Amino acid sequence: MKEYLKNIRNFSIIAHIDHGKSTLADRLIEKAGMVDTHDMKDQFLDNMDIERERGITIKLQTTRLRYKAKDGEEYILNLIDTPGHVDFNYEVSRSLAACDGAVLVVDATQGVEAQTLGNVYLAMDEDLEIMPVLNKMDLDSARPEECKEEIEDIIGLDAEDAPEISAKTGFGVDEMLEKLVQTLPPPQGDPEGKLKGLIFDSYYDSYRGVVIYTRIFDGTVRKGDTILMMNTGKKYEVTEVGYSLPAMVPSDCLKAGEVGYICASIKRVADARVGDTITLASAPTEKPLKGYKKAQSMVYCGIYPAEGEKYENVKDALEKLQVNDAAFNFEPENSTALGFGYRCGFLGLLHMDVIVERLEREFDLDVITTLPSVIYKVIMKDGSVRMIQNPTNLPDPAEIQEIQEPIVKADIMTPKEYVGSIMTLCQNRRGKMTNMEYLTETRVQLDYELPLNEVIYDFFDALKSRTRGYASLDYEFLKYQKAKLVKLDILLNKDLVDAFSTIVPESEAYAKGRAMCAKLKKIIPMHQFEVPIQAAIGQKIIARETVRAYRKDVIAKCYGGDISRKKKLLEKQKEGKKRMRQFGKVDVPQEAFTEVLKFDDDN
Amino acid sequence: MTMTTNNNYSTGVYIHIPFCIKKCNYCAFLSEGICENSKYEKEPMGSFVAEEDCTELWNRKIQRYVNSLIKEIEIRGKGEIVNSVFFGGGTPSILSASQVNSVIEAVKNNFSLEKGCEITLEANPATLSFEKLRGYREAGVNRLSLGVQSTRDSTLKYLGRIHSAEQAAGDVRLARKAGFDNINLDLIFAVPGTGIPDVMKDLENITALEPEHISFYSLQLEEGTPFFRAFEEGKLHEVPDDIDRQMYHRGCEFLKERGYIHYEISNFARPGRESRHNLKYWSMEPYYGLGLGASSFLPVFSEEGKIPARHRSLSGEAPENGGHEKDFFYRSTNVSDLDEYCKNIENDTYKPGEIHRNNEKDSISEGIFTGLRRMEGITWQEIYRLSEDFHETQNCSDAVAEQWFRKYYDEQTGELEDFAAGGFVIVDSRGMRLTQKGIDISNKIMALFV
Repeated sequence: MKEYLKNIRNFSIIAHIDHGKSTLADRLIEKAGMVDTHDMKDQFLDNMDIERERGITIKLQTTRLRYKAKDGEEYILNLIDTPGHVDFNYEVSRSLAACDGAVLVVDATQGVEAQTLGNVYLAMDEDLEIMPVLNKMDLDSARPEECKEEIEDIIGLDAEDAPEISAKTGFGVDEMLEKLVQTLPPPQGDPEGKLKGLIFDSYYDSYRGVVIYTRIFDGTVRKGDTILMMNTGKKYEVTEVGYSLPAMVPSDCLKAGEVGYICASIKRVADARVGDTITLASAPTEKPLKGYKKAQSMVYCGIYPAEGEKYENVKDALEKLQVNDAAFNFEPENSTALGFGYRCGFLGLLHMDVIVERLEREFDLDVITTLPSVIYKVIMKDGSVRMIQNPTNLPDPAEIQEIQEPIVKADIMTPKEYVGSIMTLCQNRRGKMTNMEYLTETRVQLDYELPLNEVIYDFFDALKSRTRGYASLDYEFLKYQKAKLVKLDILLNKDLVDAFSTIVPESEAYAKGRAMCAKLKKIIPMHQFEVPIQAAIGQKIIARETVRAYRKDVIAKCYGGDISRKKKLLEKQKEGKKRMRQFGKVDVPQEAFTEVLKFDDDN
Repeated sequence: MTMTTNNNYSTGVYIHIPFCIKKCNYCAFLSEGICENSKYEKEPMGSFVAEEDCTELWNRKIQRYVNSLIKEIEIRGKGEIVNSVFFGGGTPSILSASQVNSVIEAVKNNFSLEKGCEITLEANPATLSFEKLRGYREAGVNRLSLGVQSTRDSTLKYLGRIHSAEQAAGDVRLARKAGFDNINLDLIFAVPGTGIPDVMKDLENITALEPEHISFYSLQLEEGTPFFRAFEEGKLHEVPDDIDRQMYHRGCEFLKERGYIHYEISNFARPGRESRHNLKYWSMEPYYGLGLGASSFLPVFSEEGKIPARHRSLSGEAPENGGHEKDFFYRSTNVSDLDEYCKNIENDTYKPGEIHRNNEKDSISEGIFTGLRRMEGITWQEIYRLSEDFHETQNCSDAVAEQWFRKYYDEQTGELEDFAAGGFVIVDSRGMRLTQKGIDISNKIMALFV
């Protein structure tokens, strides 16, 4: 083994939300980082506002740390952060694949709350050495001994010597670092071998083009090399390599075992897809690293400019976002209700929320999103096949032979006491159990086939709430399967509003129709006339609600000539109306399009 | 009813008296209760008997305010022709007759009072006596506005009023005796816990007193009032909208039958007894707001002490030699801190708390939404006169004015037509006006034009 490798540690921090991952990362950067701590924003690694607000990390940022250990040696610690949501499981798995070890942070006041378990298992899949750490020891309610037992019982890790720290105060962090360099293994690899680098992240920089974060497993890459992306087959000339502090510092080369960045004038992140293997075009390695998956949109929704917003602005923003997000795609579409807009594809609902929020915040756009939908496969009577991303485009039922919906294979890991309620949940979501296995005495894996349509809205939230966050979910596309599905339409004041149309199982159509009408009744304000809200399948009305008419909207008295006050009231009223979308004569608040399917009751 | 169509420029003067004996539970006006927490409160239906030291303290406070008012009048008055003076509050009848007299004298000395100028004073029944009413009348007050509010003692108590129903009725008789031949009575409806029969009974009782004018308005919950807090805590249940509206419409019918003309959303009068002062608010006519927190609406030049070159109200003709300022009206509001107000004036400085110069859009939108409060509505000509285009051309036929309006509000006319089709507003070749049922949703219609 090469000497230099002994002083490198590539690792991730795994933690449940709120258990202190980001705080710990901040402390490490403060202690061993190469940036000026004065400039440090809190929680350095979570660099997007949305992530900060939600306390979750979506986009990774890698940081190279330098730590002088008690043995007198100086170690390079590459901290590779991981996102924390099932939409990004694939990205997490690739980040972990770039590591040799992981630090598992457990809140000593909470114990194991294994929504994190999903990531722990991903780490185990990658054969990572996992070092448990007990955090929040500064709090009186810390109970380290119990937590250690939980770690041993639930996860099966030896936690006896787990460092006890407080990421907040910095207590124990030095000891933790000391233990980290002793416990976690150094990387292996041959810098003279054929180049094999794993892309675990990439983003678009307007000056450099795509910046690839990579872990080199074998070989060495230098500026001027022509690299080959093994899965996409694309070739690029390297313009710069270096380390991420996370400020980018160029270096001569990146060698086996090292983590750093590569720039090669790549125009789109889709051409440097996470999980792909980088090798040299002149002397390629034989086999790519395993685990590569193509980005696949699972969920679609329409994004439309809101009242007064320009179509062109939305288009520009979507294009800019796509450059940086291989998993996001879009194409123009047209709605009778909403006009011109785009049908956009996402990994999942969170991914969709992130994109929409970025449009609103970073690009300052006002957009309307329609109900998310999956892609349906429609077999026509004439034998042709159509893929339907937008429920509005579902052909006339008379011409349809059958409709198929996407089914995913969902793996749920859970402590055994929640098996019952998870089974109920999956049953309600039209799931079919294919396997159940006790991984340990207390942990169970349930395998289900679930319609994706049932998973995308709020399945993950429902699962978390039923298992107090202990269950983990992973899913992947399995197949298309015939189902009895119908298009459910919503009519406002007798006019069909296409943006509300959705495809639902025939058996649930009545319940969904009623729920949507009830929800819209709450959202739609009173008008000066009654507004009937109807749910329909074809010509048949299956549910109805009525928004009753306004009776009183008048200022009785104006006082002492204070016209300005009255004017402000009227202006406020007018502002409120501006945020509405008008259909026929009915004003609909823009949030209605996304709110309508969030059912209050969840069963 | 006809609006003043004379070319002459007459201003209104509003004088705010920010004191009450005790604030009512629904009131969000700028006013201070002078005897909150005194023994007075224990006997809400009794007459006002304040503790002596309290009286002394407040007498000084009120006199200081009156002195400041007079000084503000002296600073701001430029001799404009005034055809309406209005003492509002608060409770203006907390002032003695001589205090009212001194203020009216100051108005006379610093403005030029038109012959037959309407001088209104708002009064709380608990504060009146025959001598006081005589004194007001002698000081020049010729219109009395009495806050009767209800003719049921239980409702009065609930509202936090400090008088009984009988006291109010007695005061009307006293006022007649004292020589008031122009009396307004205020009546609130839709008080929580009341029903339609209660309102009809109130109207019966009120009209029996034969006032010249009746303000009949729905209770509104205003932030910062005890009622609002009770509402937020779930302890106050509003009269449902549909009942509220039935009360209103049946009340309107009743008053019409009794010979009152419904001339503004909440106001009714015997023919020729419309409140000149209130109409100024709904007709874009200028008025001074004097005293604490009072609002003014004035031509820009009067701020600078010039003789107005032109004046454009809804009804006024444009002058021939108009200037070229684009902003020719401004709205301002006086400061609302009593001590700050008095101190400024005592130091011979008057400065408004807020000032906003109206641009064309401001004037047009205000003209429309205030004009629509009048049951006769607003004419295209009146609207057109507020525009820059009219200022350029001076040409104003109904057709030209309507065309201009439809172009200016191009985006809104579709919705206006919908309201018209729904029977909420009548749009014809002269102008537009709310229908009886349009009143219920008047905010929605008015909001089109702001």
